[in-house]
Amino acid sequence: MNGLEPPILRFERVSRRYGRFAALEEVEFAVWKGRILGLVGESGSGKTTCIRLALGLERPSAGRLWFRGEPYRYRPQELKAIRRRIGFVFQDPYDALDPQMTLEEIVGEPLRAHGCWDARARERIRQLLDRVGLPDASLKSYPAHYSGGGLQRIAIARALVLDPELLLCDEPTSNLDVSVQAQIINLLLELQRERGLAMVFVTHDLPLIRRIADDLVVLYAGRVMERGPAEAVASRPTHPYTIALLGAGPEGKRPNPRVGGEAGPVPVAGCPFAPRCWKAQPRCGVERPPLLPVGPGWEAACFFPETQTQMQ
Amino acid sequence: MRTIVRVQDLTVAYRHLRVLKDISLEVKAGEILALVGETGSGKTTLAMAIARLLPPGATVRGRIEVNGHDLYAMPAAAVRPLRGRLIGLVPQEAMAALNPVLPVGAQVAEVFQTHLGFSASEAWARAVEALARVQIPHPERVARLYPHQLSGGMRQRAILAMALALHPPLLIADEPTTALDRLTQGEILALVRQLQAESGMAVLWITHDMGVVAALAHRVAVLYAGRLVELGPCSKILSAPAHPYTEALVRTYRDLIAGGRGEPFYAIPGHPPSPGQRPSGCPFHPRCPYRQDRCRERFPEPLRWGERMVACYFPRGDLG
Amino acid sequence: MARLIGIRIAQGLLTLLGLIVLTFLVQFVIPGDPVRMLAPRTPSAEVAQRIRAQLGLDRLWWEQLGRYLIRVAQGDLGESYVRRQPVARLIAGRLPATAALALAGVVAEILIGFPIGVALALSSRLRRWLSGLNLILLSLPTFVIGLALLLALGFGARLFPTTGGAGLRELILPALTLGLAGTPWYAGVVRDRLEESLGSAYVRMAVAKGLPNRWILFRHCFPHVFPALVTMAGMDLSAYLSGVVVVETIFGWPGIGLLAVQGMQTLDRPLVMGTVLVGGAAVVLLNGIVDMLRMVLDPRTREGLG
Repeated sequence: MNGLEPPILRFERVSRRYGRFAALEEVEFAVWKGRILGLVGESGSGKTTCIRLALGLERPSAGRLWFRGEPYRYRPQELKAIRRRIGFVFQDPYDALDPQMTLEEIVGEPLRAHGCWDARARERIRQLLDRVGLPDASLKSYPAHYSGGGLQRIAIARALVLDPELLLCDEPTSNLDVSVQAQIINLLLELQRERGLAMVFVTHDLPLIRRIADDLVVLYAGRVMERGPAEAVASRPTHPYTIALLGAGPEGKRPNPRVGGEAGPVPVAGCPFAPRCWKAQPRCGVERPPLLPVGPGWEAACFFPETQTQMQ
Repeated sequence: MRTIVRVQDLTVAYRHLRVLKDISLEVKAGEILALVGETGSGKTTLAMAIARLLPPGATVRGRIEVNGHDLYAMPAAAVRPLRGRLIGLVPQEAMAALNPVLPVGAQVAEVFQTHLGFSASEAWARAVEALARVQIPHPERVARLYPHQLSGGMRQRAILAMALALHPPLLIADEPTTALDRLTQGEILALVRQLQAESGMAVLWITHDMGVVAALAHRVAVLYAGRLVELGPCSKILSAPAHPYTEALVRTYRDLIAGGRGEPFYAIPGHPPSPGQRPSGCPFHPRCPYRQDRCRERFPEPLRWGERMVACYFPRGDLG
Repeated sequence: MARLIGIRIAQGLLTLLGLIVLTFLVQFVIPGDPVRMLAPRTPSAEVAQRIRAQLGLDRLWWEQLGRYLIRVAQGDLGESYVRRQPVARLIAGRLPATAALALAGVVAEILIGFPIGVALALSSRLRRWLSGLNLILLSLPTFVIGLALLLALGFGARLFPTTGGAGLRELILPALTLGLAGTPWYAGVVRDRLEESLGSAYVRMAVAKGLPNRWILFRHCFPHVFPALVTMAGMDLSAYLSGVVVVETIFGWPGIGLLAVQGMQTLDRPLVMGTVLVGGAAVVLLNGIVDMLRMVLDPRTREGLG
């Protein structure tokens, strides 16, 4: 946000297509040191593709990614150098940790992979496990000894062992028990603040992300629907899809605009949300709305943005 | 209202592992009872016990009646036709619950074929009606599609259509919406509310999400580590929870919605115990801020007042 | 769909081309001179040279290969050195016998293996006995099974002829031999797929719908087993079509396997090439058919066609 330092991660008009199917189209966002970007959308919105692109597991079909002002290059050595500076925590801790490996091997794996294993490595691992709330964990124990929350703490320790600048979290709590979710979020937030990490937090849970993110990007069918300061977007959403996301969900107590039908096939022309949108006009089915400013640093891809909505 | 499900002093164990202990509850016609619990609470075991679908090796003590049938006093072969007809069940892995090699319509139609002896074409016509009832657009076209050609929400609706095909007086649903997106989840819950109101069936809805509870339930039963710790009307449970665990769950949920930016989230310390490592006495005591010595020793006798029940030595709030 | 079939045909032709070249080259590496097998006693240098010229063996190897490929492309498999007959006619004469044995063998494998696999998956009581039987069959070499059947049912009980021939009665024992030898694999695959299916969420859903067990087994579980079964049967069928040497030898069954062995023993290059080529073509063709069948059986793989 200051003009001097480049963002840690930046997507510049990034598209990713598989054959004719566009998983992402001209997605743009940036995340700075010490800030949290919330990437919000439902399944199929392209959230996970963003994560894969950021990790260099896929290459954009068009557009460019930047890490600290340097463009991504896809030669193995250069990719490795970028990945070294990125930690990640995934949705399913049961899936993400190899049950055959000890805690020391799991947490130390990135150290070995990047040739950073030294005499002090074991001590670092120990300190990290203490920090993530597992002070009694034996380095020789196996994942099977831990509950879902414990496993996610181990995954967080592994994500941080190389002192990354960027932390990618892909729905890190949605597979956890409710009474444990808050612990893990609090831990992630503490660590993010302590270390001044840039963080991308992928979720479909708007009430949650509203409280932790600095900026929000709302994705639908691979397109940015709305983006801006989290506070503003979450309290006065302008795009019908954002409004639907905030109002929907099990609570059902807040204004729940009638959303027609399911996410069906995404239309080729026009706004991808138009078939489900209660405000859609003929124009929406023909012409794709560009991102238009609705406030300072705040844009929505809608011809008929809501300007009166005030969420509680 | 008629009682559809009556569970009395139910205890379920696998060998020496006791999964449920002394559970008693009722579900009446026309009501939705939300069964709230986390991993290892035994909530799925309770649902399966009510449908008499526990895996072999489970020992069941106590009594379960569904619509007047004492399920565990009848031979297994006599229970089979009751499933589907008396009990509609939506299992936990709802996404995988459809056979990938059969068209959706065939998987609804077979209920009519086997239970009512309908011909294939008659059954198909009824299947299309059943799909229409759960508000699937173009049901005659969707019936011919295979599961992988449907969206998550459509699959969920198709499964509901199967469970409700014979208009059973009881629907048991085991966390069917957790894997769905928020928009779709809201739509499915609205549909269930509507179908329930129209048919007057009893619904046992298992969930760990207080949001779902608030949106759906008339009454709430809270399960922790195999014990029923609180039972009561939904509005009362949400506004004045009596058990410290319920209180913590409600507070977590309210805090998520109403909490301010930048504040830490309200979190319950510790994690729910697995069935093999349950604490003595009240199983919640290691995580409970109000615990006293006696909580460690014996599980408290349930306190009952009005429509409510709580199993705690030191219940919260005013029990008047 | 048409594009997919086109690709498969091209792949198949390429495979056959590779097969021809490889077999051709291998024959040059094998020690031994075909001329010596043809000529009576040791031929004089002049006689040997004449035979060589007659067979075209005096040309360079790549020339020979080229001429062979051109002829094959025209549908001509050449003439057997030893038997002085067109290879195509020799093979065609044996093909019905081999096809009958291959088909009967695969049918026997399925008829025996499928029920055993089902029983293994469903009954814990039968499991101990059947897996013992499986292990015995697995450890026995095919020729032992064949000889045992021949001794017990042919010579012992005199139920079946022992003298060889290509009739229906003569077919039963060799087919049964193939069937028993293949049973453990079929039973294993059927058991695995069935157990997987029985433990699946859709079977739990089917139980929750109150469907009868038999209905669940036939409608929900067996369709999950068939694709694997078809794959195995296709592989076996194509393998058997290129000749089942051991079984054909034991039972005196006049199939391609016997022909191929004779060709090999006499360094009869056109005959060896011909049998290899026909076997290879069978593999390629059946693989294609199996893939199509699997697409029909599993709707999820049909997506790729759209």
